[in-house]
Amino acid sequence: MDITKIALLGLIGAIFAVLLKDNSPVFALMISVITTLVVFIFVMPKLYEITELFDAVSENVNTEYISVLIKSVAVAYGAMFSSQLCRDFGQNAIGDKVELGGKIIIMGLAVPVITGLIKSVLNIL
Amino acid sequence: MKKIILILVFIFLFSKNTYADNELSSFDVLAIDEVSDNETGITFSSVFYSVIKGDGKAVIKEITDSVKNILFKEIEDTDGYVKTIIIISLLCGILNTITLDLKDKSVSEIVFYVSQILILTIAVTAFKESISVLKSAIDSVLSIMTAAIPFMVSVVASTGKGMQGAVLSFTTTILSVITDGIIIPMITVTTLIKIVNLISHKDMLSKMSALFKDITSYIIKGGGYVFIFMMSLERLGGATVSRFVGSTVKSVVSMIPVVGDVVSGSAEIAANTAGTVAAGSGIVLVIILVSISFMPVIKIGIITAVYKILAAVVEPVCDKNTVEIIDTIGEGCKLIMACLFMTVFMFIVSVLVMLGGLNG
Repeated sequence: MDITKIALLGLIGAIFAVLLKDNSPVFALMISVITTLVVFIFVMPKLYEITELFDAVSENVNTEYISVLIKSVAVAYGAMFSSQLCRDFGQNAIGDKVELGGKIIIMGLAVPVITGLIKSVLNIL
Repeated sequence: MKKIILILVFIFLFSKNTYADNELSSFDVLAIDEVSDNETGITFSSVFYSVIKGDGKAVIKEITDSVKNILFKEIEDTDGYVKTIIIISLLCGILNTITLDLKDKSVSEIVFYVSQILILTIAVTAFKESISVLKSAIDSVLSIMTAAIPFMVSVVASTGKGMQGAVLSFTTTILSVITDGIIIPMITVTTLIKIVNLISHKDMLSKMSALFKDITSYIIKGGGYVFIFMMSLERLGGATVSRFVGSTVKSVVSMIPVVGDVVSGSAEIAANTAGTVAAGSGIVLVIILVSISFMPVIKIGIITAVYKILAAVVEPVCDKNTVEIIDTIGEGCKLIMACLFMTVFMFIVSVLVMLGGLNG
């Protein structure tokens, strides 16, 4: 099962990182980052399957809305993942900036939707 | 004997056979025929002749066909919005559940906010559609009324009951002014304020939206009371005025030497024939109004029920705000339905009261 593989990978990565932490902290950090990346790459096809499912469900719906929604979630996950990595490196300030970037990009994605809402409200009045 | 012969000669010279269905040709029914055909697919004169001849099957067939066409067409038109809202609500629910688990709450809140705006956009578009249904339904009713008024007034006036026609005309004008100018904008503003209030987590505009809703409800109820007052006034004074006008016509006709009595009798017969025309056309008008107006009422009723059911269905999956947005659209549709029902009901009752006045 996929979760067994992910769990094993995580555990092995964590054990190696702890073992190397005292003698070679740089390698320990590298191992934790690589483990995180491998887990992320491993689950990517699953994410693709989920987006395909959303596309199939939303056949009858305006795809613009769905794409905004999915992109926002993807950006949120990307921003969170990167900021956590930066924090793992001890770079909290950079992590915060990555988060801020993520928020701005999400708001940018929402601009056409917000404009559409304002136009709809003005059209009714 | 001489007198009897003289009367018989006058009867043969001045008498004329009149039939209710022939009488219709003496009134201008082109406008009402055109409007009713455009709005409902029912032709006023053909239903009129069927009603006068007592051909119930033809009337029922014509109405059933029209109802089928209107109902299926309008339900098909709004089907897309309901589908979109269901799917987006479910997806938002799922995605929000996923994103709320993110460690970084501020990022997840922004995603949540975006999904709320998406739902709002679709909800506002769906509501706009409901408002346009209301507007087109009220326009249909008003155009039928406007086309019917000159015809009904001329028919009613020919029976010597001028006051009823005047009341009918006045009611229509008042209805159009109140509905178009006050009630529709009020319903729109009330629902929009309530929807916009849901964007923020703080309850900022709820009191204002409640105030607007109360005002709209009072205006709709007030319109009903004014209408009842108008009808009572017409029942109290209108009959006397109409009787006065009717008896004056008969008295003037009676004053014509020798043939006065005979012609006076003919005037009464003509008035009775016109009464049959008025009753027949009133029934047809009511049938047409019911078929064109109650379809949107039923349709908006279905939409209201769909939104209410939808809010209940998505409640376990979605957050409180999404459910509230869908529920608010349902509430807006309920107000629209009340307004439309009131307008149609008032006009139909005024036509019925007028017909009652003719028989009384």
